[in-house]
Amino acid sequence: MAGATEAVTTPGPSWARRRLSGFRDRETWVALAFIFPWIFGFLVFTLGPMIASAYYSFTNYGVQQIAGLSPTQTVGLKNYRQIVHDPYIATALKNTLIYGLMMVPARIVVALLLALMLMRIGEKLGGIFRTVFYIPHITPPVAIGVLVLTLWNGSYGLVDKALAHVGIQGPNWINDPNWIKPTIAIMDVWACGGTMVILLAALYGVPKHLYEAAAMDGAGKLRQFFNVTLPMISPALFFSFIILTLAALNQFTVAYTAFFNSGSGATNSAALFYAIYIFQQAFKFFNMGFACAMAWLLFAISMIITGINIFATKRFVYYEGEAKH
Amino acid sequence: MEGRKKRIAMLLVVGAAFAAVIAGTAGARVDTKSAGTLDIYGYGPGDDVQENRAAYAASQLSGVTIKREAPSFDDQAFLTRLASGDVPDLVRMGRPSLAYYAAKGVIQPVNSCVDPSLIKQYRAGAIKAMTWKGKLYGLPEFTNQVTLVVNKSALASSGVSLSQVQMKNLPALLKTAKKLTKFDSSGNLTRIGFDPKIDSGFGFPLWVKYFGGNIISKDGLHAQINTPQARKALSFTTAVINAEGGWSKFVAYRNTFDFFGGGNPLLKDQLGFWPMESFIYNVFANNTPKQGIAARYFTNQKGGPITFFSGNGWAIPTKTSNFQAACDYMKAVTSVQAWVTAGVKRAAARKAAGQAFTGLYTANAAADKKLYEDVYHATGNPDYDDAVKYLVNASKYGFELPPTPAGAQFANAYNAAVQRVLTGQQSIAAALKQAQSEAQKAIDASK
Repeated sequence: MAGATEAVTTPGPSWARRRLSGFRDRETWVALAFIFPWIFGFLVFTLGPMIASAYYSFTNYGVQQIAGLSPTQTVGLKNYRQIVHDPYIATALKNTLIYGLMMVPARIVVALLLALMLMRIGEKLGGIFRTVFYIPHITPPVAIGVLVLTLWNGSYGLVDKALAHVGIQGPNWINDPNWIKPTIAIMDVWACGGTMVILLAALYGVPKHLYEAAAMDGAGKLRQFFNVTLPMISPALFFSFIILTLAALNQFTVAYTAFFNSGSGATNSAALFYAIYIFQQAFKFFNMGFACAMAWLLFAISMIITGINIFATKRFVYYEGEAKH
Repeated sequence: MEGRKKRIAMLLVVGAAFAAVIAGTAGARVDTKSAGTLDIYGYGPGDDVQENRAAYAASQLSGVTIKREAPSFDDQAFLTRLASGDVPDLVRMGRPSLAYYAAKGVIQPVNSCVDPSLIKQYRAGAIKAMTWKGKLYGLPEFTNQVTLVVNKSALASSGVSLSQVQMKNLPALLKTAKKLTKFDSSGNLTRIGFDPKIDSGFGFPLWVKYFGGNIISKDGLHAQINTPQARKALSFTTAVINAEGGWSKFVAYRNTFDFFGGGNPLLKDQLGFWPMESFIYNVFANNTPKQGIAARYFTNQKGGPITFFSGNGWAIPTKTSNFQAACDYMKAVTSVQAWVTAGVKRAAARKAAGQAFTGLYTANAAADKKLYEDVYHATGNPDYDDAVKYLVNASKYGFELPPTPAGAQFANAYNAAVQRVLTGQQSIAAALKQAQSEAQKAIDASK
């Protein structure tokens, strides 16, 4: 009894001691050494510039300040107020959101269909098709931007020529403001190999016995897909959804190469995505302070959308081993 | 043996011509007292004309160590160098950029080292583009003047005479454009009759000038985009494009052109006539010398020639560490002697390769005169010989946009307006009103 009392009253190691005890292990130091390059890169190339851009978003930083001819002065919320009054911000945000609404669901659906198809064919053929479907994903975005102009040229591009063979007159994909965003979204869907691989891995991870149990309960293929497959791969779907949403908000290279850097004479305002407008303000017009404020708005929008996604999809995402209350 | 004799004879001829030309210009040598290192940005290794001019300039600054690395100017790289304190001593960049940097104080006036009598050698339009608040901020280099390029075989096959390629009578111009335009059985364009190039870098300012207007005030501080002249410019050029199938078909077809290759629009008979910069004659002369071509002036409403100048210029950053050497090099590389040296060698190289030399078109009027009178010889191809006469004369009627502190934002405002009109997103009035407001705001914010 006395012993028991003693055990309760004897003070244990302090909180700080407990937290730091791990650092005594050799493995911890080795692990830290391995992740140090990433931490260094994050601090120097990500966090540092983020902090700097937060500061510059409240300043008049521009050509004269870069050249060291005038001091950088704080301007309060001027750059953020300018965001409200600049009509191109609304255009760029609208373009980005419309594109995202087209690209994200289309890419996930097509990637899932391809992954399901690959599950059904044999290992040998599957390997070939996995490679074929993945190749567009490793095509550089600049090359895709150039491809957009070649493939989708109204009347004279390969796509319209192919459509003409089956009696369809294709639209002027890259010159008609209404078709520019769908065209870029289609090219993104074409390059869905990365998403497909993630979903394929998730599909391979679904335990076979669940399908057997469902079949014994009389569930058909469709029912098995909705009641077994989808819940089991929901974390991968959710991950893809978040990553693709962020990619959509940051669309730059394909659109810039196709519509702002080629002298194509295309409809620039219909392809003015938010990231492109940030780039123009920063590196074409040198309104660095304003561009930094724009970048922080994009960061805030990204966080809000991600937060909403996490909240809204909580019910639908199933993590194996997770306790549901 | 015969070939060897020929080569020796050619060398002697070229050598004699070179000596005669240099002797003729020896009185205008650049007098330099430069020393130290000269770090040049935007003028790295280039074509024969660039290298020969660079060699000439270097020979004039014998006591100076010259560094030439970046082949062309890049705003971001330039600003990064300024920010890091690695300031180049001399830069070469597009004249619109140069004007912007002048307005921002990034480059410095050069009046103290360029004699007013020397300034008179250069084309007035190009000098104006480099003058901000009464001070000269550099010296201009090349000048590309815009003329109408005419596809003679298109004219012949459509029964259009060369005299019908005119700009004084707009209804007649529209009629000629329609006559030259061809469609296939599916309604797709197979030839654009007349491309007004309103969406190009020079198109809008040139067409507004056609109607007697200017898109910016002489001091570069007042946008004049929403004017009756600008409305007329957009109205007529969109009418031309609509008569040729509308913007979507027009631009889709034009995007298939290979302007700089062997299958150019002359060879493929894809274009009737269009305004374009002078360098294209050189390109066509090399790639498709046998295709019929003619040059005509881009005129104003009264029929008087006008042309829009574009090109590079040289400037000295405010924080240069070798102003004297920079200024001496700038004067040397744009001097009559530098151009003539490069011209003589270019002409000889072209002759040896059996290609036509259609001249060099510079912002130095004295150099142009010398090049045309002493270096250029008729190519023997009447089309190109005739075109050269037009190009030489067109230089007398050039204008450029004055410097504006808004820089690229000003050009962006009117180019975006042109795009909105062409794609049918906005009416002409609405697009110009918006562009005027955007351009003026950009100027006011940058003052």
